[in-house]
Amino acid sequence: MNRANCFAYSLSDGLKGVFHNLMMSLISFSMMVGSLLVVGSLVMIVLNIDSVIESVGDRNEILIYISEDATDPEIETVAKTITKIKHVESAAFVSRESALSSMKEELEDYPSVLEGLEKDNPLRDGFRIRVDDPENAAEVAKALSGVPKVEKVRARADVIESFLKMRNAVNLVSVGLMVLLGVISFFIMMNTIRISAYTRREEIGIMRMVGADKGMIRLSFVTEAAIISLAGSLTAFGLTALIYNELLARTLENTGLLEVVPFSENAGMMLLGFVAVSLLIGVAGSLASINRYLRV
Amino acid sequence: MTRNNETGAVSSAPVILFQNVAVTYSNDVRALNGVDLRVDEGEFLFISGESGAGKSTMIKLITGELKPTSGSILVNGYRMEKLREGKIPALRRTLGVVYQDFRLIKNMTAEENVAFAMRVFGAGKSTIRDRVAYVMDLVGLGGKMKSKPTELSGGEQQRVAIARALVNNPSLIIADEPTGNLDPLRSYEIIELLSKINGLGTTVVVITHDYELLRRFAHRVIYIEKGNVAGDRVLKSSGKESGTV
Repeated sequence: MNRANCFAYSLSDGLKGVFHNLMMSLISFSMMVGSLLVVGSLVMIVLNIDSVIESVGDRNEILIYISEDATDPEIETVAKTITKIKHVESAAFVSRESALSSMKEELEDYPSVLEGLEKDNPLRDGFRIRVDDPENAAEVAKALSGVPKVEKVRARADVIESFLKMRNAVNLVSVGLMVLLGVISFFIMMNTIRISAYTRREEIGIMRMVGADKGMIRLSFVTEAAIISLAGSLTAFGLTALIYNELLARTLENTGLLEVVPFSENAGMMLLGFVAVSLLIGVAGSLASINRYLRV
Repeated sequence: MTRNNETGAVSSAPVILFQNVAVTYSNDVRALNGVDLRVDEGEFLFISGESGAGKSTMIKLITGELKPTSGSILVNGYRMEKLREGKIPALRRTLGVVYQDFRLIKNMTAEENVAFAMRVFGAGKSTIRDRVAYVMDLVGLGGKMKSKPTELSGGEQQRVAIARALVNNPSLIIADEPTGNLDPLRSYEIIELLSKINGLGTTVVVITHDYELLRRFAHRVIYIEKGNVAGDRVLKSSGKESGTV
């Protein structure tokens, strides 16, 4: 018995099975494409929300302003206290003078606004504070507001929190949909292979009777499922890229609100994920359905 | 006798040996009651009996579809009662099985149906081509290689099934009612073909309840009745019993 020839025969037999059972193959293929497309789109949406959270977090340095009456030793104490607060990554002192000069740079086209400010600087000394994770911004802001001589805390924790909530909701929906669509795809694949095995039951019986190994017969059906799954995952990958680049990303870009995550940044990971998940579903579905036809 | 512990194969043994074999199905139907049977290499044997006598059960025992409830069975060196499921394909590769309903794959040509039995073993293309042409000639269908089963008569379809059983050069051919769907003339032709194959050295076991066939061909006949061997005789072609084995 030549194992290599047997293997090649099973593979070619599996390929024939795809076309022999074309209608069910197409249904399985479509389900696989649809499921992965939904999952892929959700993944891209989550990645974009993450990117927004990150960029908001980058810009969202917490600013605190020190009371006008604070002495230099008191400001030093504030600095020491701030750096001891949990989740604070860094704290940079910004004197009222440097704050004014930054303001001048930003408003150089509007000199009238700046008139008289140098004589009577209304700005305060303060600290520019970076937090280790945007998720901790609210906690840090709360702690900062309790530090003596800190007059005002400016944070955008509420914005971050909204995005975090949105991301978590999308994550939850994604996971739920992934599981649901995965289960549906599994059962459709199972039925596809079951029908394929049913239509070829006489052939399987003859194969068993002339001494074909169960493993070899299984391989033929697993190949059939794997071909459908692989074709489904590659098509879904292509469609996800197309829909994302041509529709979703373009629409988001046109709003000018955020920098869209390029599809290419995550393409490799997504392709790998699509292929792995679809093959897993296909192989498991085919194995679950074929055994009953091997009892000869 | 020496046994290979890994395969269960035994050397220097009869092709088929039943020793006190009994089979009781799960619904308590007792299909065989302590059957003893020995078939030696090169024999041609008819197994006959009424419907429900236990003939098909014997075939299932020989092909490994069924295990005996008690007793011992040896087929082509394999101890059937101890044979693990994973070893059944290896046993079946030493057998050729022919069925009453031919069991040909309708969308394949006669040639493909025969080649199919070699392809599942991973035989090479040229080996398959040469061997299939040889066996198709042997069964008298060299000119109908490209015909689909629906384009062939019942007798021709059974010849294709015999060619398929023969193509892997088995040492034993089991034919389960091979003439059941054929008219008398085609039936004689099929048994003549099986006799010819037997003449080439292959052991042949034919299950039939067609007494006309038993009378016409002078071969050993085992009669099964209610799960027991009721007779083991060699008939002359006249139908006259020539002796008890």
